[in-house]
Amino acid sequence: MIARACAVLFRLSVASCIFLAFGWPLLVSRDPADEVFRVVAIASLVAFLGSLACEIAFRMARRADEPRVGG
Amino acid sequence: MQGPSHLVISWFYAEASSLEQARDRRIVAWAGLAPDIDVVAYIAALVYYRLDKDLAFENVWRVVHHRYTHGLAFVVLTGVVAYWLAGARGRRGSVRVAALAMLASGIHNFLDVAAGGPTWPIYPLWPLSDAAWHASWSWTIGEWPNIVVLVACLAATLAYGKVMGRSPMECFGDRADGWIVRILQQGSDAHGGATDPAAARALQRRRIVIWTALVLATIAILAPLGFNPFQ
Repeated sequence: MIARACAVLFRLSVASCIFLAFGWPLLVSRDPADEVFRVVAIASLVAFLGSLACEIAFRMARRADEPRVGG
Repeated sequence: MQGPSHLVISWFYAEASSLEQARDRRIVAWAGLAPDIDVVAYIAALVYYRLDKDLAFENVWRVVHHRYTHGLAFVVLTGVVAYWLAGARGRRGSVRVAALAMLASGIHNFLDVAAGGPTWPIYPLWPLSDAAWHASWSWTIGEWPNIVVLVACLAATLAYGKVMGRSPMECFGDRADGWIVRILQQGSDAHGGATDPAAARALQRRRIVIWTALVLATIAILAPLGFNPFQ
């Protein structure tokens, strides 16, 4: 359940990052000091890096749980 | 954000997207670093101005950096090149690799808006428009958030290599990755799993080489940025 939520957050954060880089200045505002952009951008950055770290951690945990064959 | 951080994040992005082939992960990882290819212009300028960093910076780097390679046009170009490089995967696989490469390149742009410094805008619509896009609050490349990300990337590289048997070192080839993974995994035993004392000593030497290279690489990245943790 947590892994699935993390995967969804990961995909959403990627979409958000792309939108903030290319869509925001065209569709919303070009103000470099926009407070809303600041909040959304930092939230997206934290969500992207955090969910990426979780995805990686889940993979490592799954591998660690696998039974080892041989020596 | 520093180049190594872009490369490692893009490799982990490819890994988290379940790309099975090492070559595909490599394509996506390098696509995530590709926008910084304009550093070649700075190196050429250094040669042209006979290593005068100020002239090279003022006349070339300040003008060129981010302008031509940090925008949608370059993202599309990255996708085309990735599709061509992934050609052996079959049409469906190549499209997926190209799409992930474009996303990695796009993420690079966002990371530079948020963590590239307020004086280095990106140009989303170049060559159609010279409109720049930056955030006034963006933290510069030597500030602590970027350093934390860089150190986390290096730590994740080592941890992932040890547990999973592959790491972002894959970007530099399977042999490089195999070499570092072998050192990391054997290092979990007291003598690196080597029963022969000579082999154990060789392993220990290789481990020292890796840690020294890691420390030197970190210093080489941080020193030009004026990062001083003791200030």
